[in-house]
Amino acid sequence: MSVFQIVLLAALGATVVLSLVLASRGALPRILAGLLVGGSCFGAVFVVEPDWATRLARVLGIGRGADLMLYALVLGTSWGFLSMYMRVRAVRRDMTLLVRRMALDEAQRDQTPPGP
Amino acid sequence: MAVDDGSSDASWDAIRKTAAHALRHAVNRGQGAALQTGTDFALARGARRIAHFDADGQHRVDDLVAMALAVANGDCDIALGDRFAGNSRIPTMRAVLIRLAAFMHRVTSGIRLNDVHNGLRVLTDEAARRCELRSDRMAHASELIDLIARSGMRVKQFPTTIEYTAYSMAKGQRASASARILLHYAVGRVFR
Repeated sequence: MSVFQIVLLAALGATVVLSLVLASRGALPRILAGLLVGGSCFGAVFVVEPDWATRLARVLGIGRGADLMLYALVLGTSWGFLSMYMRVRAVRRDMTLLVRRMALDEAQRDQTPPGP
Repeated sequence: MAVDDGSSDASWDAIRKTAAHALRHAVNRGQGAALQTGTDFALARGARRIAHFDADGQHRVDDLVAMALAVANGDCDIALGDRFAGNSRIPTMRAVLIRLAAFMHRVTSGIRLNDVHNGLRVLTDEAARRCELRSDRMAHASELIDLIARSGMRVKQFPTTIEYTAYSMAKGQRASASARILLHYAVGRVFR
C-alpha cells in the first residue's frame, strides 16, 4: 500500500467519524451524513482497489475509472453548491424579515407613550 | 415616512429632524425590503394610499401629486411613473435596458408597460396588500411588476420627469448591475 493510499484512507476515515459525530449532535442533517459516510466508504474501496473503479466505469460505459471519479466529483460539487446557495438565500430572507420586524417594533415603541 | 436602510452616514439624524415617521433597518437589506417595511407601517396605521418615492432626488413632487389624485379619484388602483412620456433626458444605455426589461415583462407576465423600473408609484391600500415584496435587493422592481400583473388591479401610467443628476446616477442601479438583477429575478421566479 502506497503512502498516498494511506493518507487518503485516513482522510476518508476522518470524514466518516466527523459525519457520525456531527449527525449524532444534530449539527448535520442525517441525509447529508449518510451521503458522506456512504461516499467515503465507496471511495475507500476504490482507493484500496483502483482497478475496480475502471471496471465499474466500463460497466457504465464511461471507459476510465478516473473519468468516473471526475463525473462523480462534478455532480457532487454542483449539488453541494446549489444546496449551499439555497441555504444562503433562506438565511438572507429570514434576516430581512427579522430586520424589518425590528424596525417596525422600534417605530411602534417610539410612538407609544411611556407607561406608569 | 422615511425608511433608513441601515445607512452609515448622517441620514438617520437628518430624518429624525423632520416631521416624517422614521423607521430604521439595523443592517442594510435593500430597497425592496425598505419599501415593504414602510408599507407595513403605513398600512398598520390605516393608510388608504401608499406612494413610493426614491430618496435620491430624481423624482418631482408635482408628478406624484397628479398620480395620487388619479388614484384618489378612482381612475386606477395603481399609478406607475413613465419616464419615457415625461421630459426626462434618459441616458441611452439606461433607456435600452429599461425597454428590454419592459419587453421581458410583456413576455413573462403579459403586462404592457413602457417603464418598468420607475421608483415613483401610488397604490391603494388593497393593491399594496396584494403586492407584498419578497425580494430584498434591486430585483424588487421586477417582482413588483409581476405582482401587479397578477393582482388584477387597474394600472395606469403617468408621465414623470426623472432628474438624472450625478448624485442620482451614482445612487441608482448601474448598467453593469442589470445582469445581476436579472439573475436574481430569474432565480426568484424559479424558487419562490
